[in-house]
Order: sequence, then structure tokens, then C-alpha cells
Amino acid sequence: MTPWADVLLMVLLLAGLAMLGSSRLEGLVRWMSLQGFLVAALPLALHGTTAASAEEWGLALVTAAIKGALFPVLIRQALRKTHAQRELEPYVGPNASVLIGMVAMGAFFWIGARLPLPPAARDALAAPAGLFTLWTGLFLICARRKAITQVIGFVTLENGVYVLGAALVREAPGLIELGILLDIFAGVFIMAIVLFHINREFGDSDASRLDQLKDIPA
Amino acid sequence: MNPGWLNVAAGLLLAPLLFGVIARVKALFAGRRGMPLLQPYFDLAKLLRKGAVYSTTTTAVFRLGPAVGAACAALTLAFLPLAGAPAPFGFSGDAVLVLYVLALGRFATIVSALDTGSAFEGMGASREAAFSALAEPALLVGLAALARAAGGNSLAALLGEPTAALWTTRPEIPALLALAFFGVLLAENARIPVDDPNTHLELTMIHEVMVLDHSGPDFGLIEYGAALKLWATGLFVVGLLPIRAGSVPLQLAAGIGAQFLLAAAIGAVESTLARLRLNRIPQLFVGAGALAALSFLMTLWRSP
Repeated sequence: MTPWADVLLMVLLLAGLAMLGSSRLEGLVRWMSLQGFLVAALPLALHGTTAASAEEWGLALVTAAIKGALFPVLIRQALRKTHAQRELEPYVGPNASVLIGMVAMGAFFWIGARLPLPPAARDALAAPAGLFTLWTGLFLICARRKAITQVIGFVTLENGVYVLGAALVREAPGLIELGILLDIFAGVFIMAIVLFHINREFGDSDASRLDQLKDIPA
Repeated sequence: MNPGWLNVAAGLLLAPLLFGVIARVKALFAGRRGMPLLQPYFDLAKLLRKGAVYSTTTTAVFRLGPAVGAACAALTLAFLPLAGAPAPFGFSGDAVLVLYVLALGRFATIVSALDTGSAFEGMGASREAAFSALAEPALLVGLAALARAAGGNSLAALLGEPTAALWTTRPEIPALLALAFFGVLLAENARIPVDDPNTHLELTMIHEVMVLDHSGPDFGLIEYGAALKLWATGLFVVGLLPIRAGSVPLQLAAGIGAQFLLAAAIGAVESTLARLRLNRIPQLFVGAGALAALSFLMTLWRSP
């Protein structure tokens, strides 16, 4: 573990809190992009850059390009097309979300200290940071109305899974990692398109109304 | 003589100059020349020469407010080390005393504002009370984290040598706390983005609206008290930074220099940020509280 791992993970924790507290979608996308770059750099920081193989470097670069740059571009495009700017009436407001997030963060620090992890990961904040980021994604999906926030939540959730994966496995086969990345990329791509169509069809993308969709009005 | 008194004297003498520096930095950002650096002193001298006017609806509480406020702020200086230069007094747990002496000063201002019976002042008092209640947890949790990390619970340890040593072993804790305390400082001293000290619209004021009815020497005391409070809360931030010079006089000079750099930073923040909408201000406190809470969790995660 290098000292940079701690810095990265702490900024990741703070980014998660900032996401819970931001009501503007533009800000949310910016934090998501920052998280993408952080998790991309994490495997290198955890295991040291000197010992890193070309494969690890390549994977980090591809991850940064997709999670840090491409996803935000896709989501910004969807934002522009759906004219969504801010989360108007979330189920849980920003301040309450941050407070709940702080409690959750405390819980994950407690759990993280008790998980049987390999020594390199146990030293770093990887377990609490990964769990918290994962939880942040889930919370955003549950507590916000806009469909676009739920896409952001999905990406955040995946970032959390990636952190846990990077901490647990010294070197996952690059092919598997690339496959996962491709899957998520396809997912976000499709969600962005679906969002656009939902918005064009119904005039807004409020997910709380999607349960009322019917084929043909009776 | 205890060298700590130098530290108090520096605070009592130089505190109004902080306002001069802030105003100068803001003028610089706006492309103006700005007022003389010593203008706050001229203002104080002018106010102290004037007579005071008291409304017939007010009582002794109203007259007591400014004096208690300024005295409380001055008292905290006797306990706060200036960037490692020790304070004249100190005992285990004095951090809590200092926080609540500051709160007592605020209480005096709030009560004297309520005493006027003015609707505007009541509004300002209620806002001040609400926001300071939100700022307190951030400060207390932050000090708790410091107490765990630095080992010791007197301000001499929390804002002194042990904390400066943390920068080499656990730099994240003082770094996070410096950010959190800076946010609290902006709020406690009614600076932008929480409150605009130069606004002229009573509806948007917080601190200034509470002191509308004070005049002459009373208003002078309030201004002086505000300067002392800025100095005192600045010491919380400066005390976290690793400022170390060899001897006591050098240390004192370095600490004073850091205080004025901090004032310049406040000026820069004020020139580049807009005031937050009133209902979004709690987010600033929540943010500061989150930083403090994270640093506390970090001390639990890996015991120093």
C-alpha cells in the first residue's frame, strides 16, 4: 500500500458525501466523474506503481477513460436532451441524505474493521470506502426521483464494487475487468437512450410515475 | 512575566487590523484601492467618542449585551495558543470552556437584540441561534478527533505541538479539520457565504441586523468584540497548521503572520463566492460536520 491509496480513498469518501448533498444534477455528474478517475487510479496506488505491469497501467487508463470521461459525457448529453437540471422533490433531501450518509459511513468503518481481508487491503480504507460508495449508489437510486439520478446511482454503485474488487484481488485477469467495463458501458449507453425516449414520450423522467405506465388505457 | 501574555496582547491590539486586511484584499479583487488598513481603528475611536442613544423600551439587558460579548471574546484569547506559542492559562478540558465562553458572548448579543422588541432584530437573533447550533457539533466533533489523535485535551495540546507533529504521521486529520474549522469560522464571524457583513437589506442579514439599535460606544464594543472573535476563531485554524519557528518571539511573529494570511484568504473567499441562499446555509454546516466526522472516524480506524 502506498500513502496515495489513503488519500484517494478519503477523497472518494468525501465525493460520496458530496453526491448525497448535491441537488444539482450537473454537480452530481462532476462528482461521479471524479470518482471514476479515483477508482481507476486505486489499483496502482494500492499495489504500488513500480511493480505494476503494462496490463495494470492499461486497465487503469481504460477505466479512467470510460468512468471518468465517457460516462459523464453520455449523462450530460442525456441531461441536455431531457432538460433536467436539478432534483426537484427528492424523497430524502440533501441535508438529511448527508446526515444519513455520515451514520452509514460510521457503520461501514465498524464493519470494515471486522472483515477478513488480505493485509494490504485491511490497512487501507478500501473496505469502508468501497462499501460506502456502493451504499451511496444504492441510496441515490432509492431516494431520488429523476431517472437520470438513478443512472448516476448505478454507476456509483459499480464504482464501489470496483474498489472492493481492487482491494481484494491483487491482479484480476484483464480480460474479465474489460468485460465488466464493457457491460457497464453498454448499460449506461442504453439507459441514456431509454431516458431520452421516456422523456420524449411522457414529457418528464420522474421515476416515481413509471409504475403507472400501461399499454393501452382501459 | 508569562510569555503567553504577549500572545493575548497581540490579539487585543491587532484584531481590528484583520478587518482592514480583509477589506483591502476585497478591494484588490475588485480593482479598487480600498480603505486605509487602519480604518477599523479610526472607526472604533470615532464610535467611542460618540454618545449612545437608548430606546425607552430597552432594559439593562440591552446595555449589557455589547460589553459581555466583547469581554467573552477577549477572555478566550487567554486560553488559545497562537500557532504553538503558549497561552497564559490552560487546563485539561479548557477547549470546552472556550467554546462555551464564545457561546455565552453570542447569547448576550442575542438577548440584547431580543430586548429591543424589534421584529427585524428578533429575526436576526433567531437565525443566529439556529446557525450557531448547527456550527457547534462540527467544532466539538473536530476537537474530539484532535483530542484522540494528538493525545491530550487541553487547548495547549490540541492547537500546539502534538497537533503539529500529526502533519508528519497522520496529515489527513489536521488537513480535514482545517477545512472544517475554516467553514465554521466563516459562519461564526458572519462572513460570506453565510452572511454578508456589508449588506444593507435587513431581511437578508443575520449578525448585522441584531445590532441595528446599538450606537456609539456600545456599537464600538460590538465591532471590537467581532474583531476579537475573528481573531479567536482564526486561532483554531492557525493552530492546526504546522507553523514552527525556533524561538518564542519568532513563533509569535509567525503565528501573527499566519493570522493575517488567513484574513487574506477570507477576503479572497468573499470576493469569489456569492452569499448562499438562506435555506442552503445549513449545507455548509453539514459539510463542515461531515469533514469533522470523517476525521474522527479516521482516528478510530487507525489509532495513532
